[in-house]
Amino acid sequence: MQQSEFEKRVREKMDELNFTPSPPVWPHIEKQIRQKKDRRRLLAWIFLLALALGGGTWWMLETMTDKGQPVTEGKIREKVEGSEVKGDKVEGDKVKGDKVKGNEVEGGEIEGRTENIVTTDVEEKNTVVKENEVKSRTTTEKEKVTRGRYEDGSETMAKVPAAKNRKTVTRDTEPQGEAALNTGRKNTKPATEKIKQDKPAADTQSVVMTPPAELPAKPLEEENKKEETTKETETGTAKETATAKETQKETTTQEPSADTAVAVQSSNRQQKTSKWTKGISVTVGVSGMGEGLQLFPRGLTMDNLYNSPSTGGGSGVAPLPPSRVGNGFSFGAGYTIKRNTGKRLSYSTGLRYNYYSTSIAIGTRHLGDTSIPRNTWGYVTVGVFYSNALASASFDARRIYRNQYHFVSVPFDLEMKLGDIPLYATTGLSLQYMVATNALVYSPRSYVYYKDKEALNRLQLFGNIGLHYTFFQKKKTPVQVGPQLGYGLGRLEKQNRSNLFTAGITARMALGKKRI
Amino acid sequence: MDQHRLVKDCLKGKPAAQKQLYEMFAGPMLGVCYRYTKSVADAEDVLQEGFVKVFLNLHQFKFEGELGGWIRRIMVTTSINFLKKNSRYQAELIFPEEPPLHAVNNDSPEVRMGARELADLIRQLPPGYQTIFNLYAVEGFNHIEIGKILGIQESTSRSQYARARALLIQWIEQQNNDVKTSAYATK
Repeated sequence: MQQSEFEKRVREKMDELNFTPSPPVWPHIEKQIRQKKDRRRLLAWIFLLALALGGGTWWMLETMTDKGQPVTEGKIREKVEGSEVKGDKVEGDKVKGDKVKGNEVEGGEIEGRTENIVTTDVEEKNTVVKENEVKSRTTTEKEKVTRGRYEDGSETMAKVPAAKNRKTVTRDTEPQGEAALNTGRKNTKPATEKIKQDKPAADTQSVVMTPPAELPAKPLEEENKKEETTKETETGTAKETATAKETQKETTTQEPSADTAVAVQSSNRQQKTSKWTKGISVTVGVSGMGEGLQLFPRGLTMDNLYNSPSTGGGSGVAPLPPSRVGNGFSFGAGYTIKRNTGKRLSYSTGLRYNYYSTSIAIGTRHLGDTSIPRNTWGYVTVGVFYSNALASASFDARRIYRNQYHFVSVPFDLEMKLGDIPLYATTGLSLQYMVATNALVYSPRSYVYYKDKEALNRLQLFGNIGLHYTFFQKKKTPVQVGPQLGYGLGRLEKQNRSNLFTAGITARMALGKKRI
Repeated sequence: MDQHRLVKDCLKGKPAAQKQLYEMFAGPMLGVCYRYTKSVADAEDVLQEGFVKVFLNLHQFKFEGELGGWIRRIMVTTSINFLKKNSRYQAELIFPEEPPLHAVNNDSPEVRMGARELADLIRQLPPGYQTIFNLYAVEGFNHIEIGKILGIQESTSRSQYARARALLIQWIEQQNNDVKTSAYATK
């Protein structure tokens, strides 16, 4: 249809149409612009953080060689020559099939034979090893330092038994949890945000005649007044309490208006929605073995199998140090329930499955029932054990072994909203029980790796911190995504100062705001 | 201050410039929003949302057209989105049984009333008619574009507009006659 004179006239008239907006419009616009710009900035930061974390994870995983990948002779030769254990080098040709004099690991691979590996006298053994070592080897300063560190390590271990240490940890952490809970309870106050969300309902009830700026303001103001009086009654003296109560009565009796009814309805609705909400959470990241303050050691590659002889060493003078522990993949998934205790604070618990892995370098695989001396007490008979990679008879036999830990955990997290944006900081504890593992432990007395669940602390307490941004907050299924760190507060191995840690990206999804 | 500089200052985040831009366009833009909604309050809500979009997307304005036109397009889009989202208006975008088409004596009658009165007449149009009339007659969209915007057939837009136009002309003529009669009576 060709536009006629009529349309032109209408358009001209409509171009003249001019209104003056009410004064609150501009402040609202200004506030929204600021909020949205802040949100964009934050999203950009979260994206960068996630990118960095993802890149880091990829890099760490990339630097690790695949499980069971044999090491080329050249690489190892290069490595061994370059390492501190140069003097200890066990040349493949010499050791293969030979008896290493004085060293009780005789004959290299002995299949189907029961053999006792007895290495009671460390000094004697060292002498023997020295005899077998390349003649040119001298006791360097480095070696002395290393030995000193070993001795120190063993002394510390002897002084602080693992069980006692665990107790201390529990005592330290429990009050923190309680304190955090108490804070949560203190902060409990009615959420006014929910009333804001209920604005459309209020709109429809009082229809269009009221100016928009006033509409949501009234119930909110009343709610705020109520909050203030409640606060006063909580903190003030008895006299003040009485006055406040009177004031409260007055306000309720004087204004039984429709607005009050709306406010009461919305607060009731808010109470209903503040019940438990169900959800699922998934975490993907890296895990590793931290030692004290060194939380994030490097990934394990064939080029850096051995950091220093002290790494993970249990006791004393070990000419063959255990492999460095590299990072591995970690995963977690679980069911959570969450409850709001206030406008900004909520707590959650649930049931999770956690998988952690680390990697170590091992040598030749030995079969046959063998008694291996434990780090400090008794012997354990094992069917399979692995020699130290450095003592491995064949270079080709060296490989990366992935220690895998399967835990079932009960987390308890506190979540606090930061500012006006849907960004949440979480902190909490997680009690985890190891249900299965294939982890190898190192015997510094016999220089072998073996499986021994008794050597591990199956019950672990993890401390968690995280930062989460909520997407689709107004939808039924909001999704929280962000980085999370977890650190095992107790030792993983009873005789080894090492703690499991995990770092990754967590995604949590609420399964609708249903009451349980 | 020229618009170039004003936009640049707004992009730098200067609050004074942002307020100046708002004050410059808020009045006519509220008029645009008013034509699409049923209350001043709703119109102000749309205006607020629209201006937030304007400031957040101002970097996309390349001075290829008029700034006022660009802002106006944002306001129209925001108004349509508001109608689609808001449950109170959803029914109005559903096109019901069409009322009988009235015969129009004069195809393009004179519009003697003021802008506000005419806008109020447009707002009294039956469900769906108001939006289509605004989009076609005032904004200058063609029926294919309107069909895409509202998710309806081009033919539906065309027929709805014809009816809206006829109805509005009828009301305008009626008003013009009333004015004539009252003027005669006073004489």
